[in-house]
Amino acid sequence: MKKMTVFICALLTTISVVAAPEPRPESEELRADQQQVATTWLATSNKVAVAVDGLCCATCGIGVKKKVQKLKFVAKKGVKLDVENAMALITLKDGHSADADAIVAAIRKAGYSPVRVYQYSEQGPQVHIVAKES
Amino acid sequence: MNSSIKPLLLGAMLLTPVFSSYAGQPVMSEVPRWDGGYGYQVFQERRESSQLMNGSFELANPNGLNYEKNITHIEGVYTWKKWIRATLKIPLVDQTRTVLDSQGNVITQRGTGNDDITLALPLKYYMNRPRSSGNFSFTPQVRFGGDDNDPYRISDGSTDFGASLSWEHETTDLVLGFGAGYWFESAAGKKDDWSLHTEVGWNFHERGSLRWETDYKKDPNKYLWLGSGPILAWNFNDTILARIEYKKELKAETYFPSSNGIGLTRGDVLRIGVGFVF
Repeated sequence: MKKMTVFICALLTTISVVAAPEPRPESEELRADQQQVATTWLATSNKVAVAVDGLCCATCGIGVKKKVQKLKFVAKKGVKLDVENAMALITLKDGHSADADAIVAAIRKAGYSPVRVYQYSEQGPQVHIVAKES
Repeated sequence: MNSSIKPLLLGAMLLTPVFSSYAGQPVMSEVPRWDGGYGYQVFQERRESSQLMNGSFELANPNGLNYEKNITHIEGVYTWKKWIRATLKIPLVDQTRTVLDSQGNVITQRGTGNDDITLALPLKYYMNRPRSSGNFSFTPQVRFGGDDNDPYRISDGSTDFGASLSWEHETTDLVLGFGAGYWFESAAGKKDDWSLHTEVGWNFHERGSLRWETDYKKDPNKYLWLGSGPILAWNFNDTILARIEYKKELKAETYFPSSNGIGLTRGDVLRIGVGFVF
């Protein structure tokens, strides 16, 4: 019986590894969707949008809200999740500016991987590419 | 479905008109994933059976022997980093059964107290990708023996060690998972037990999911059980998550060495719970 159990565990692990989708480059379609969402969201200067890898359901992304809302420049209940487009949409407190590094760190502490931060500029969203976590 | 479970299930569904779900359990699996996150959950489990078997053979049950088990699970979790967390599970049991005494009379026995308390250390490797997330988990765990008072014992009283392996993958719509667990029995004369788990589901709305889970458990000291059924869960807000699940017994065998293999099957399972995360 022990041999069978070990065999089944090994089989499950193998199936899982094989079944797991290969890491794939971000699609142009998703990037375009995120750019569109950011453009709409950043209508005013007190907004920030972040594209977040791994963010695909609102419940497991609760931590993103909890961590980012603790930042002193973020408005109370100032984080919305757009899971369809894998984005965190942030509203800043009046008169405050965003610290992109602090937002990136907060999202990482929530267990996710921020890839781009979009900030307001009069010419359209200003995009900061986030370096991969070491 | 057992007739006495039906009203419970219907009642629960009426009381919880909008439910969603979460793979695994609302607090222990998906959340808290964040550094320093913690939470607890309470859920009620009900099992019952009047199916008498000897191994894989169904037996007649002219005396209407049966059992019912109500368990209040109190569970807590703390996440240091997304890759390491600790969980504590305390099951409080109230169980009754009817058995035949030495004169052949049907008598009722009752057992109350705590079942094995389980302390686990889930270690997770997350894979964050565009619009998807997945993880492999390895969970070493220990269960401390619970109340072992006669005549209707809740636990064998032994402290055992175990481990589980699991994989989960999730997209905005789809949830998929596999898992396997093994417990090394330390009680003299007892055999190790193990289990397998699969789940497939659908994330809907922004607050929940509907899943279908199948569990296979083999405890050579008690029974074999294959159960399958739906799970609905819902996160009411960023703190409160709820879940309801039902698993139908699809296949059962009984082993119970003390009665030469004759015993009641594990039966259908209904669980309703709520969790809080911070």
